[in-house]
Amino acid sequence: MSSARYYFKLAWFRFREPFTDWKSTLVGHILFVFFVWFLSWMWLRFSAKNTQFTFQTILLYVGVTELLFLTFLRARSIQDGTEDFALFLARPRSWILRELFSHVGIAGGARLFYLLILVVITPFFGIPILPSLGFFARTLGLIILLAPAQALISTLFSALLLNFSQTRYFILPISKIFLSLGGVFGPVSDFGEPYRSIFLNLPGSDLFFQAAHIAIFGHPFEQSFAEWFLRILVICLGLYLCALFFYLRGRRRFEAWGG
Amino acid sequence: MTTVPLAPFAIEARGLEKRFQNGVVAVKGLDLLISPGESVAFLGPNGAGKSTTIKMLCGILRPDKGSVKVKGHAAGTSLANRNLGIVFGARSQLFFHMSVEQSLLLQAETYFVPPKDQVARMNKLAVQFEAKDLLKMRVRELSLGQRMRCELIASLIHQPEIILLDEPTIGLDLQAKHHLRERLREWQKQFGTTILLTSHDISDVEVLCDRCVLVQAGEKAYDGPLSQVKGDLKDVRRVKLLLSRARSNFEAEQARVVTHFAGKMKLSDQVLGEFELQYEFNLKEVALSDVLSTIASYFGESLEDVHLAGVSLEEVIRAQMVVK
Repeated sequence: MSSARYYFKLAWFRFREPFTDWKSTLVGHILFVFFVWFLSWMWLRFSAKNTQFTFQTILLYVGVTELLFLTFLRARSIQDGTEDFALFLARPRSWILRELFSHVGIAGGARLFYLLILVVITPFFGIPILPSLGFFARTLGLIILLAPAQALISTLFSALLLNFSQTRYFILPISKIFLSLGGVFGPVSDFGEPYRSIFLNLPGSDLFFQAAHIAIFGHPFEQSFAEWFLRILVICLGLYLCALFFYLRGRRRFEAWGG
Repeated sequence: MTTVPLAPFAIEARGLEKRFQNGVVAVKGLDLLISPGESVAFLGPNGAGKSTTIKMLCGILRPDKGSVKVKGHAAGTSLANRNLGIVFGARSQLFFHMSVEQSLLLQAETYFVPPKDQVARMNKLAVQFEAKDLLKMRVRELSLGQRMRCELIASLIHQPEIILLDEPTIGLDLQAKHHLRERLREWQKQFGTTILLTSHDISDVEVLCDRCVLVQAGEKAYDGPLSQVKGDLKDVRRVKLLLSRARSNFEAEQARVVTHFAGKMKLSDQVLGEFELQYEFNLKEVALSDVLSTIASYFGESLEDVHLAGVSLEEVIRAQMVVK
């Protein structure tokens, strides 16, 4: 009970951390509006003939994928977890759980902030608020539901960083690949079979494309909600086992040079 | 039926050995037994194995050989770590963007302080360490001295039975150092806390510690009371003279003093000012009154000032390390 309270308090603590400086947080997040508009405009400009979606639907789709992506694998928070690794080992708490709940808090705070921005800007793009309430409610639910998966990916990278310092160079490329395969190629699916099925079955698709599809349409694309949820659970389990393996390996080999 | 106390030692390390992957053996068969309430300085030159040993005591590193127990629990376990308060002077355990208060309350939660006690403990410590006004400030807004006071509160908020201090006063000005040492000493007396200190600032050691363990090349070079670490050097005295500029036969007279004591007093080889002299002698061989009267008779009115001092702890430790 005491442990659960500590980890939830930690997540809440990390959730609030960015909001201690509202001005910086706002400036740091405001580019989101530009990305959402620009990517929606690009999509329509170059794929208008191949899509049946309206600008408003695309804007919401881009909005939710950007919301998920911009808070995905943040190099700074991943490195934070390894910088005080030595100090944390002297504490009576689990490092891997600390990382997990920290990432839940950090990403949760940023995602809610982006959602708030999305709520504020959508009327300016001709999207009425009231009919979109279902979309926003589903997005909020997905933020909570996907928080552990998102946090586990970051935790895995933190654990990898303990073992291989070069991991930091791969954080950005891997996050791009995740987005490309899951958030872009999945829904575009202009490649035909078998590529479309492959893209749709990649973990990136479950975490980005399907999440966006659920937010907009209320159900996953070509699968049931239960099936999608099961896939998320399997991804979480796999990520946890990998993170645990690399944490234990890193712990065993940790040398803590210097004073 | 007799009852055996569960943990007679606050820290019990036996036969500790640590070999790094590059082949360096940082600690070689080190034994360290510290009783509850002791204040121990753990000293040695850079690379002697101090930090490696401390890291094994708090579970950051695992020894290749030997065992470490903290209050009877294997080092690095949750039960052992709950008894530890740690201050690494060069590293912060506070959250830079949050207020000191928020950081401290999270720290209290980290160390299983019951929620009903957290605020009371924080406030009590804040008063004790004169940090009440800092609680609402963000950590990033604090000066180094203020931050170190808050770091100490963070380390003590769970009233640990053992405090490990690694360079706790590094980078602080004289007043801040003095303040921190005094508060720590008070705390130690109040709660009977065990202290293990590593520091390159010998004043930290003199104020806080009663026992001294010297390590060199991963092995113990000395383990005993701080008062006895000086050994034979404790009776060595240095008398420093400042002479007036008018003195003409300066060199001849300084040699005459040495001759007077038939080699039992020698001129110091320290670099001094132009009109300064320093003699070194041992109280076991020469009476202090004899030294002072002889100096007065030889130098007379040209003597402007006299300063008498023993050998500093820092010099003794340096000498110990060289001999070893």
